[in-house]
Amino acid sequence: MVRTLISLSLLITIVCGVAGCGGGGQRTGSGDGNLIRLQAFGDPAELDAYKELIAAFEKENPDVRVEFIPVGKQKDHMAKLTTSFVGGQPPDLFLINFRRFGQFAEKDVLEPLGPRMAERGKLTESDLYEQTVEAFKYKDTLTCIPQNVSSLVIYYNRTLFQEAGVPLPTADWTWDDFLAAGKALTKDTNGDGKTDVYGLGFEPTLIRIAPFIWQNGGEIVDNLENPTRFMFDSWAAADALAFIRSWYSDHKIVPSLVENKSEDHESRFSRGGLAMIPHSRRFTATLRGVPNLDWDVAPLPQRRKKVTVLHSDAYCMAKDSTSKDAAYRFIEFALGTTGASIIARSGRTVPTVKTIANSPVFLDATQKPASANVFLDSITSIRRTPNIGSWNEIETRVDPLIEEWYFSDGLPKERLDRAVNAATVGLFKGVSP
Amino acid sequence: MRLKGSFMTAGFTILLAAVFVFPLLLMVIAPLRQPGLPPPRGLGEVIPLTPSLQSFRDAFSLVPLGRSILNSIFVTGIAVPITILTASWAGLALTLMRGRLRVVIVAALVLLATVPLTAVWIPRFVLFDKLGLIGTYVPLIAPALMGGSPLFVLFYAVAFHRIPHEVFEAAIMEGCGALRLWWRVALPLVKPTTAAIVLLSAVAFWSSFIDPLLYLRAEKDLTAPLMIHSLDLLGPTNWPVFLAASLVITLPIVVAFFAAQRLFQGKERGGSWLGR
Repeated sequence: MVRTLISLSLLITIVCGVAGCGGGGQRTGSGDGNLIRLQAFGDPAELDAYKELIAAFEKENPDVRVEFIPVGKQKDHMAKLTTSFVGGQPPDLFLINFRRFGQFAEKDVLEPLGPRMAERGKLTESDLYEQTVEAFKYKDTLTCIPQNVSSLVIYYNRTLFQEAGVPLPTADWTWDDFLAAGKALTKDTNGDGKTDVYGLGFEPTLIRIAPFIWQNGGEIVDNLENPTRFMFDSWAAADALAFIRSWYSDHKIVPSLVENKSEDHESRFSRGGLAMIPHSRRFTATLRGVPNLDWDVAPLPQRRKKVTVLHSDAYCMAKDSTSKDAAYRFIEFALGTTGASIIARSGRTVPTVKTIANSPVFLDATQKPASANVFLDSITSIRRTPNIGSWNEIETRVDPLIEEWYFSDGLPKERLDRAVNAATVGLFKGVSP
Repeated sequence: MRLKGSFMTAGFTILLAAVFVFPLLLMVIAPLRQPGLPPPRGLGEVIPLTPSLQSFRDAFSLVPLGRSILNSIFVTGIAVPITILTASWAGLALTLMRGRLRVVIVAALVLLATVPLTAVWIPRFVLFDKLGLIGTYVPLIAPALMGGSPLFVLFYAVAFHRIPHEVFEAAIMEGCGALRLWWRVALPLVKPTTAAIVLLSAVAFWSSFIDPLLYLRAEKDLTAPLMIHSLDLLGPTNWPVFLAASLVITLPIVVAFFAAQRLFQGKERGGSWLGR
């Protein structure tokens, strides 16, 4: 009797499993060569722009159908991508940051798109900003085709600058100007002994400190293509790091860790409690929705050199894709005049297609920021971090150490150097991209 | 003295409840803030001076929230009854079992309950891919076919174990079949357990995030928790929109919890009830 009960439950389990009890959606096997799956992440408005792009593409290419796989956060995007690659069901196309594409390129699961681009000839490397094209080269072959290019710029609150009588940032302002502005803008407005407006909001992470090290003539790693160790111990890097740390330890122009965790920089800037914040193009979308905030953008300050850091995403194609031709046609369309304009209008990214970036579609005079050209002018002085397969992992391990050092009370920099080296043991494999 | 004691108890309970109610209250109030404004600083600014329902409208227009809630209802509505069936069957089988096999199975269940989801992440994906079920709701519902979670099976086994074995033996001697024994004898005696498992499994299926993230593709198929993650990206000035969606998605579970209160209050009959 008991046996009957058990076998009955087993039987139902199996029958249900095979028949797919209540299975909703239908299977849409990619494999006929005309169905493309595209996975991208972004906020709802950005994802809407992709939907518009897909609709425009399908209208022009009625033989191809695009299935869009939208994901909210970048973290979830990565989880879904890695699982589907390992599980053998990767999307035909996906968008990914250059700091994260190396881990896929290294495992040889991406279709190199450079040769296809040369063969088709409709879209060429020279149509795009070379700084991003270079970032997506793996072993000298263009692997993914960049879709956007954003540099790090300074967003500033014009009202706070004017109230404090501080001159607005110029195209060639220096570290000294930057620090002087930060000091003059930091204020205790109600006289309770606590700072109410901070001059600067700064996330102490590798990607944010890198441009300051470069500006001082230093390097973050010994070799961009074949890194074997961090270079924080060089004089130039140490000097830049000391400058960055002085914002907190000496001048108190940035919020403390506690204040930072209780109200993030973006919120603080939006309500006028922060005068300057280094950020990429993405922050523009948030700020456009904030009423009564007078803001603009300026390039990063400079010292020995004028340098900023690259943020860029590209279209990558899975090697296992069975719709490679159709997928490439989609990339051509997305980076063509119609496609790139649709994405540019969402305002979230800076287009890699030079003609679109320099057109009114991007430099929209009716929309903030007034100095949108700062994003384009910065491209000439852009540098990037390595794109080796383990870079994402390296950043993940090093960022908390930098934060801890930045907010500590006098932890010597040698301790940071040692901790960074210890945390990245075995991650620099000496693999040359 | 006793009165004072009960006052103290009541006061303490209220204080404790307030701690837990506060986040819930905040979730109800926060969406009333106009989206686009900087987030409130401190408690004084939390209550909006000019309440607005704009954030709810935004939540439904920015992402297909309505559709995703229907999808979640569909998945939960199918998965929970199946969970109850399979978990109670397995629990009853375990109770009626004798000897070493039962010890082995209980040990296996406890062991299984400790396996983290991430450990079976890839094998499950490959399995469902081979079965051709990626992009359908089957992988989301499939755990229900195995009792939802090893814990649910154990809950039922413990509940059934508390019923005197003579009850089952008598029923079997009267010619009661397996299904009848389960439906007419065992299940009615463990109603509070069933209520608890209905709630627990409903919460698990309703708020499941990783499974829908990995197995679903098309936007029209996505479930509600994925929408929350999408809205989270809007930035701090749009937190009211994010919280409006959170409120809408949390509400069904809260309502279900209050509705099930009555069921929890019934006492499960222990070992001595036959003697009374």
